[in-house]
Amino acid sequence: MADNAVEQERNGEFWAGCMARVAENRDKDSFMLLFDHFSPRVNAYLLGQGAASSIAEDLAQEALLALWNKAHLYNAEKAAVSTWLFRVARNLWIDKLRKQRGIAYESDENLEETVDADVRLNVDGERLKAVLDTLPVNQAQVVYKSYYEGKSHSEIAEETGMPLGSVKSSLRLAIKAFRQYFGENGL
Amino acid sequence: MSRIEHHPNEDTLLSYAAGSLPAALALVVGCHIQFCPHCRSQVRAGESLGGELMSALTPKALSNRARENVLERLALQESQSAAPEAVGSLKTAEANSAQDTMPSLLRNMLKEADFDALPWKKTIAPGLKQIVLDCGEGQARLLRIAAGQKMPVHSHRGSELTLILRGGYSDKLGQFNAGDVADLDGSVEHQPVADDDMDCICLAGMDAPLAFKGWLAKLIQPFVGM
Repeated sequence: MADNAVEQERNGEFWAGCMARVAENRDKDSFMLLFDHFSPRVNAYLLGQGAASSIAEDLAQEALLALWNKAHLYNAEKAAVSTWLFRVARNLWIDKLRKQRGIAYESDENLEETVDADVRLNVDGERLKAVLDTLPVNQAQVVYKSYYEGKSHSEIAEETGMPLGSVKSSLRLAIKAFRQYFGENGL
Repeated sequence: MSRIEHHPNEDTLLSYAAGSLPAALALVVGCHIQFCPHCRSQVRAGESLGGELMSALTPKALSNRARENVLERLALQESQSAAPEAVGSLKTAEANSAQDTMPSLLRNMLKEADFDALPWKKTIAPGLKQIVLDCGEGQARLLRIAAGQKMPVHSHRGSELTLILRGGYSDKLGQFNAGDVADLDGSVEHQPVADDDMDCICLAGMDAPLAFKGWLAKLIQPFVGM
């Protein structure tokens, strides 16, 4: 993006403001800001999960349109826009190609209602990357494979040659490290 | 429901949030968090981590056509003056509390809200009935252990999650009551004993890969991709 400086200033609060304008005024300009920022990231996430590029592109559009259509359900007090979108993208992906897992998640409409604690991570991407960088390789690897590749503990064990117990304990240690950086409420 | 004492491990909750638990295990977690605010907020925290990790990815732009397409769809919706979808489906939580302890995810799957009306099947183990749930990845089943019944000593090959839905049982790990989850891996050998006062109903999910016994099965294993 040409205006990197502008992009840098856009933090969680900025995106929450855009969501509010979409919800209240059906503001297309705000929506397109959200679209231009988030759709390439949702797209990258879906490609990482193994979606073919045409499917990733379709689902990324759908995820962003869900944000337009369900903006009135979004509550900035309860979740960052990125969290909300992650959930939508994850569920769309599961519905599309991992249908079996769809039995295990509440539909998006019900999500906000069931959240009672403020669990926003007070963190920017740079800081998160920095924490990921400090993790030992095996911990970073299990986080990476869980989130970006959708791999189960057994699959990770098989691929990396780590015993199943080590996969689980590595994940727990990673959670501990995130907690140290982002506070008890963070994770 | 009594106070929940036993929860899934943190790694299990994180993987659920990441969308990477096999379906059978994810189903158990999904049902547990309908009862457990503590784990629900842990899952939400895992989802915020997911959001941040997604934001930190190197962006891969959609085609220009996609952007135009989205703008067109917005315009189309406007011309049809489509009202935003109404908040009409928030029934789960309340409807749930009235009815025994059947989590809504399970109710949706079984199309039945009453455990006693389900078609329980006998097993070879005395005092144990079950219903196998079809979920594609891993194995999930509802188990009904007769009051006071001792299960055979067993261990598990992979991960096993068990959510108590009615009654309770105890084993060397403690007493498990409705809402509690036992999160076990292959290292644990245990012998649950159902409480005396009523049948214990639980939902168990396993991700253990199918274990073929015998030389013929071992021989064909590489060819059937198990």
